[in-house]
Amino acid sequence: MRGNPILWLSDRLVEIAGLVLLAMMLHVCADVAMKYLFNDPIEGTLEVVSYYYMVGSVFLPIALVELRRGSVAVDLFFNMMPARLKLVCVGAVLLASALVYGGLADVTWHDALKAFAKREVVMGPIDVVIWPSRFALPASFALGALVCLWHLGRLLFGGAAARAELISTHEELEEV
Amino acid sequence: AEPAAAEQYNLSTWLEPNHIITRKAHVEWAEAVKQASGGAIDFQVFVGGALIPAKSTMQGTADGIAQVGFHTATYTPSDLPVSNALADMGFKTPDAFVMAFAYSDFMMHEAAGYQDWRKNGVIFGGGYSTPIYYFLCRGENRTLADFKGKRVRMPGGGWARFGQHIGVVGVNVPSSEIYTAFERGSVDCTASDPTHLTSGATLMEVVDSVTLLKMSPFYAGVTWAYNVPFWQGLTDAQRRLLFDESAKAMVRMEVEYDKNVEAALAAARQKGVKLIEPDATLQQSYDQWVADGIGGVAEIAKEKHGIQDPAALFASFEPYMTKWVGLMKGVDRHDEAALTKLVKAEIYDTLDVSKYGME
Amino acid sequence: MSPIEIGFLGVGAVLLLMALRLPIGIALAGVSFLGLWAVTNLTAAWGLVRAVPYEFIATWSFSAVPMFLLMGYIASHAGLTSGLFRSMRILLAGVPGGLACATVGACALFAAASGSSVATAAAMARIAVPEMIRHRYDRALATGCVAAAGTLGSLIPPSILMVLYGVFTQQSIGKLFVAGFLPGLLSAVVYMAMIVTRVSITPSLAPRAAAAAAPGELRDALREIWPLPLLILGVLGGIFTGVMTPTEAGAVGAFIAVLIAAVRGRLSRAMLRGALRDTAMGTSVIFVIAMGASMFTTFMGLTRLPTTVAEAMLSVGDDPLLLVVMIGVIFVILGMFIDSIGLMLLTLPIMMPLLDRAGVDMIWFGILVIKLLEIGLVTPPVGLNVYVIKSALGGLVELPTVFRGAAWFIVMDLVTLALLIAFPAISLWLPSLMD
Ligand code: NA
Ligand code: NA
Repeated sequence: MRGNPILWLSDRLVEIAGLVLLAMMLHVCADVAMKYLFNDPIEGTLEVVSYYYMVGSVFLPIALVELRRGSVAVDLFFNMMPARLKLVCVGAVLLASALVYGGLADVTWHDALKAFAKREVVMGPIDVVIWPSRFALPASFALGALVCLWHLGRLLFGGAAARAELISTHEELEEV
Repeated sequence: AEPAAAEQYNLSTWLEPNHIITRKAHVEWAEAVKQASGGAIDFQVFVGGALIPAKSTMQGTADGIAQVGFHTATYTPSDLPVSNALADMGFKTPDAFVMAFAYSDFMMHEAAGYQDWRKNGVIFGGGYSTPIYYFLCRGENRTLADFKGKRVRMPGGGWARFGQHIGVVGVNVPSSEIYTAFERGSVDCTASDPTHLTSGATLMEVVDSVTLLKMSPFYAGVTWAYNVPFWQGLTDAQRRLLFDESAKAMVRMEVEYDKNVEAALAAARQKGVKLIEPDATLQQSYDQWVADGIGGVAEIAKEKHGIQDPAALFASFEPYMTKWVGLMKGVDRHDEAALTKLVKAEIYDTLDVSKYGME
Repeated sequence: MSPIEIGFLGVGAVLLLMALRLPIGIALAGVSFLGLWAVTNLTAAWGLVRAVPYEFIATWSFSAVPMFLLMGYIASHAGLTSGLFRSMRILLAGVPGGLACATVGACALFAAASGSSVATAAAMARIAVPEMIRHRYDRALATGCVAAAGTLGSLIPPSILMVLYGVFTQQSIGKLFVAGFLPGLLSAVVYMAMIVTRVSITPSLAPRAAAAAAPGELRDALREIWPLPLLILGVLGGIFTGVMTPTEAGAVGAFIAVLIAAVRGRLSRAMLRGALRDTAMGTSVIFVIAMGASMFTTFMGLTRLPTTVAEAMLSVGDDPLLLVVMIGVIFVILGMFIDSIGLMLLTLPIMMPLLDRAGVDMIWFGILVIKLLEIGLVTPPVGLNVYVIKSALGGLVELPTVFRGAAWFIVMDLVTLALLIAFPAISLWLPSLMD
């Protein structure tokens, strides 16, 4: 999987999401400390948590989740299907997922551009610029769509090994 | 072809079902409209943002998810520069009736106001105002010194700037957590309209006092934003009907608000909550702050909202406030009929429904 | 086609697509989009797709979830949890299913700190389930127990859902909080009773500790346990004394977990990196589903399916008991598909006038509503708490296993509900002391 820019990028986005979570933890702790030690909370914490940390940690990992096919799905009926039907089913699912992510990417991209054009802010006790966080959505959704298409390509042209991998589920339970 | 069933329309508000605005201006309005139109205009009211999330209500209404939306201008400051630039004018005239009517009047009769909404794809059909804001507090605060260093939840905008001016520590508590925050003492006060004492979060259970410093009410929003194709698809008579019902509803809502404030303060006093008149230091500090330009409201209008000439905008709004201060002087504030007559004559009847919103 | 028919079709489509193994969030979002297009028009459908993702996620109210998840992941990656469970296993050797009972107890404690069921389940999933599985507990029991006990988060105060109910219905939030206390406790006790009974009948569900623990073992285990109680004490103490909101407590809890890991020499770059990555992926998976569920609620609202079903079923008459039972049935059915806040918003406006006329006590009714909405969190096909557990545990369990495990607890919830309906005093006695 080395050298594939889609995979590399998916991985980086999760790293960023992890850092966002770390920043959220530290920022909120600092706010608590400032509030009670110095009676001087960090202004805009609520806005930054909502518009940056939440948005970053939810959307950025989407591509890697798709890459590992880690979304929550129902395996029950799928596992009863014959192998050929499984292949058709996975193909259809990947195509549908790519369409949904693609549509979301398109609509949120235009929204991000609009937000950028008006330099969108949100007004709390202080004003917080929020338009940059809007771009996390189209980036994440587009990469999610690409990952689904990449899987689809592997399903169609990737040979038996790729196919076997794509129709396997977490049937074999991990040990702790 | 489809059977000719009466079409059902959607009204979207993010406020809760029992909110005064929801009851008086949306649910009762929708019923009255249905009745008056003989069932031709039938709205289902979606509350609590169940149809469209709060901040997207205007956009969602423009897109046609709903035909009528309740939108708060301060939620989308970048979309509504004029409405937001005027959001702090109520500090000069802390009077709910005046601000509700003057703001609506301005938005429907001045091109600057009308276009602020129209360019977002909706038609302004009437506004609202909450009651004026007071400080609801744990502990008692009468003087300027009392407030210094207190942890106060401010709704943002002018209130937050005034808070900074008097040296409170602004804390950010979402409305769903305000009750718990008071209960556990992590906030000292909230600037809020006093109906919250008995409704919504029922704050009279967790506060000890109300400092009756008159601060601006909240009015920067639209009660009925109309989807354009919907509006233009109505007949003149139907548009007039909506306006007539809106005039009645706007008055009904403000009167109900006013009565609720009196009842809430009475109930709170009964329960041992102290009603405290602000002392001269606090009042003077407020007056001076307003006289000095409401914490730089002109600069904010220019720099943040991109209003080229804030002085001109405020000057065009000023006459509407003056006019309504005058009109409200001789009226019994609980006389719905008299008030409705006034609102109809001054705001709605002067509009030509074959032209308004039809371009 | 009428909107209602489109609504039913939409429900069928979601079920079908899920069966075909389409990720649940995608299935909900996709069907909502097509359904809205059918009910209204393409512009409106795009409008919803544009509005929901950003606005749904960019709120403070959910921010406790990633922080509690992070706390759980750090605690489990750094191995802070094993000692506690080892010593509890020895101490509770006499209790059938002791670890599961202890987990219910821990959830109840956590619930008293967190206002949200999903956050409670998120925090406990990573802490408790792997330990139970390691001790050879039945996977369905181990996961179902956290999924269900997580719902105590909304019943035991504080509770975001109760605040919303109070605001919607003009009831005192303080009274609701107080009223939820005994029913929450009752729920926990009923859960434990079920666990003990089931395990007594089928001991293989939860193998007991070896007959006699070696004398040194307990001492060693006890030496290991101090971190977790310290963590929980830090978090709970912060919230009880009013110093922290749930999000703040989650962040501080995660921070304390990092410190404990450091003190115990378990803090490494790789550990922290792993915990952060897992938390990010878990957060994403959960909220993408929640986002899809929110779009689906809007779609359902526009088809008027929930309101029509509710109106039809509530035309049974004015008898308060019959009314309450019917409402229970409605919530359980609709709660299979619609998220709890959305369900409350769509149906309460219809129910309130009827309840008012029947003279039903709205505090008591509020407790029933919360309990009913919580059941929706663990019923298939859309059961957010179950998805939280599944995403926190990855390949450790299968989805149907969690639902199967939760089913026993749902039965117990129905027992609790029956008790709450039969004896309103369970809910109303404590608040009556406030007047
Ligand atoms: Na709780
Ligand atoms: Na469910």
